[in-house]
Amino acid sequence: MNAPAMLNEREVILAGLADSVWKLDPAMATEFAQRAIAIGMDAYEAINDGLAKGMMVVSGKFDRREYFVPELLRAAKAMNTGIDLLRPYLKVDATTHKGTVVIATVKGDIHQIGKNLVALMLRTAGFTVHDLGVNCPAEKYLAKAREENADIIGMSALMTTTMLYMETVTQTLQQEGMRDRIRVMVGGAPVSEMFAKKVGADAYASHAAMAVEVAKELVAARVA
Amino acid sequence: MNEKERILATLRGQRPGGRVLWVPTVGVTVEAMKKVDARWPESHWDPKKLARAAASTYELTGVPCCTIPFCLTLEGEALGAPLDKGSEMTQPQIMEHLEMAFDEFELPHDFLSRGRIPAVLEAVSLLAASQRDIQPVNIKVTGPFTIACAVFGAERVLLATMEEPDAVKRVMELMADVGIAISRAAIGAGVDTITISDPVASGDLLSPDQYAEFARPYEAKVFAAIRDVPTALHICGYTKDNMPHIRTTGTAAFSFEEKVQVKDAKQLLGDVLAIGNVAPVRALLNGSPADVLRESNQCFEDGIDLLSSGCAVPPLTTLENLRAMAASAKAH
Repeated sequence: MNAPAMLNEREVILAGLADSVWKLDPAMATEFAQRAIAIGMDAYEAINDGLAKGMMVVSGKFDRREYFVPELLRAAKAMNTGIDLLRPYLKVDATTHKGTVVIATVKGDIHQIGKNLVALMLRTAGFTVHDLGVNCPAEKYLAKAREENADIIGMSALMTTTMLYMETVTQTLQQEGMRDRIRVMVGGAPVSEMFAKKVGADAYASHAAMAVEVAKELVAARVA
Repeated sequence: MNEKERILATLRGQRPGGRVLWVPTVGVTVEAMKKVDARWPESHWDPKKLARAAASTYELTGVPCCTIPFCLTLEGEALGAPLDKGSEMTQPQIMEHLEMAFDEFELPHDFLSRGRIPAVLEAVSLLAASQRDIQPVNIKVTGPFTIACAVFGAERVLLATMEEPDAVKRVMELMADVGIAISRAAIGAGVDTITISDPVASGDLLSPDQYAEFARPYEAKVFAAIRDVPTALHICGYTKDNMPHIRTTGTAAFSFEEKVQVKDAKQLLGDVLAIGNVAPVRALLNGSPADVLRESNQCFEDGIDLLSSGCAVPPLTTLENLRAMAASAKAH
């Protein structure tokens, strides 16, 4: 095998994986994921230096209002198409683990677009994310956080009446003696920094990209 | 002119003079509904309680906002999506979405007699009598894009705008027909005004091009069918970039959130009246009466045509804060 040509093929594949995501093309993601597998590329590298890089481009375009939610959903589909093909080849211990997040929309609320975007961006940034969906009661957050030894619980709400439930979750964490071990972050259209403090959360994020930065800070502070 | 006549005249493009206050979105509060014994969730279903709840805000605060129903699930429920009733504090929500292909979806012939639609129409008749000389009776019809998202799930519809645009447009045509049928039935029952509320068609989710392609034509279809009644369109979130398209929907007025400055909206909306945009959470829910008064006065100074909450009044808003909004309108 010719070494420089091989190097070239790796670069082409990584670029192709990244492009497939920001060009919103699941078929292209399939093609390049198969090429990555064919040359025996490390699956983690293909995801992290290929697909995830493309999602970072998407995130930037979203922040600049060049992309909107339909494009984000399509990009996520392309990325997940690639990940599903690569997953069987992942060596479990090869992943650099940024932290574990349990995320859900709170009890009484079924709005999920914002929460799903945050989950997507956290996964892209290397977090292990357990998404419990919508209408999530406190016990379910706590049970999953305990089971997965989570670093962070993330809560979302879109309504002024359902966001009040966030306090029930922080209080339940307190009662169960888990509050010191787990950081809590909250978000959603009616939620604010002030409200986050009021309900006893550690942090607030106003959008998905900010949620990633906040999650990194919370984990770093926890380790330190 | 009484307050009702002043609101209707304003919506017809006349200038009755003075400050005009009117909330075209939902304006009921838990406190007021408790006082008139018409609490949620019963007051979503019982026509008498629905009517009592709808009139309670004006009765207790002087803010005209006789808008029903109080949620965005009326149409989805009638089209077969399973509903959770909600509680005294929270609105009903659709808990599961229809999984059929878009092409398989047809309107049930009897949907006007399904779910709560008959109860809402009966409440319109009751209110048309009880509010006749007081405030406009307003029905809030869900916008086609938002009905589709309620029925099929927002993510599915948003993704499908890219993957099967023609199928999505066919569904939007049908959802516009739903809006037209409910609007016409409500006109028959005696409504004075109609709001189309299309929150998922927000600029936070859709680009201006996507709004123009998948939401605006179907809102416009409903407005074209109800020209005889004064209308408002409400869309949540950031809507500034979509305003050049909103301007041509055929609505008389547009209700928007504080994420858009009144001055910008006035410029972009042209002849379409600007309704808004007291911050629902920051001012109405969490602020003091003084904060609400200050924000309300600022809206008028910036040139708002009809003062309102930027989105639905948060249900836990105090009556004092709503009275401050009324005071701002009466001050001049």
